[in-house]
Amino acid sequence: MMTENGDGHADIMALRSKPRLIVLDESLRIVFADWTAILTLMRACDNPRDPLESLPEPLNGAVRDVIASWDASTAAEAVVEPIPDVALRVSRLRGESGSYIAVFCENLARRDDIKHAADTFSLTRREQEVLRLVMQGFSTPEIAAELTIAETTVSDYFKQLLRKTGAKNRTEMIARVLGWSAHKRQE
Amino acid sequence: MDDASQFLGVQRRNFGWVYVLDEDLRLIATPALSDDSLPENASTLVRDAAMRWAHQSWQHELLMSVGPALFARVFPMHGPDGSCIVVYLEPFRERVPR
Repeated sequence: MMTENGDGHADIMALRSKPRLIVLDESLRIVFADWTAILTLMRACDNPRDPLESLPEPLNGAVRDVIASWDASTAAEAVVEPIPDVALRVSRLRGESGSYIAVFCENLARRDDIKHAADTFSLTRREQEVLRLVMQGFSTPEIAAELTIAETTVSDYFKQLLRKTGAKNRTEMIARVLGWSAHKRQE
Repeated sequence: MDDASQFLGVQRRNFGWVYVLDEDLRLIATPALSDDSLPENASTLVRDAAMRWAHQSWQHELLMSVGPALFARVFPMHGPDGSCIVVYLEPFRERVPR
């Protein structure tokens, strides 16, 4: 059985997809990578090259510019959009043997998760409103107050959202809405 | 952080925090941020999440709720010189100021 913690969240589940993360060393050499992300970026950049060494240009240059702009004592995170529909979230890691750079690749075509979910799961406008508030952490009474509807109505919308997304609980629903493709419960 | 809010949407307003562990589940890289910028007891949460991942599976990508406002996504990654386990702590319950 999947367990629930005290706040009603699902405890653990398996995902079909993982974050499109790439870890670089200080010289921007790829140390660890989601290779699907690398191949996607290479296609997006239309700039095929050996994927085992570094990010394709202009992404490599964009990351280099970000790092150069950081104040060594403070800034450690930034977002850049070096090519259309691709954003890189760049953050600095520190380790015993030096610094690393974590680069998340975001597909901006999916920047509005609620709109994407509405299309994917055929959500009504009201269901989208409830979903957005649920994902912002609003409780049922708070959602009822925000939308000026009864709490029982909110509960009905929530059940509809669970049914349409095929989720059993809030965490699984959020995972599905965010496109994390939860597909298997852990025993 | 404003830039992140704009493209991530309100439900994911913050960056998550990336922790990299070796195959023996030892931390080899942590966010280069001050402790007060990290979730409370982050290192403990990360180690616990990695242990649970190792107990469950060495190949799946797992999503765990490690608190009312925090997911841990745990997954392996590979590179030219070896493999690692990433624990990505991600807040999901950011409230929007009214």
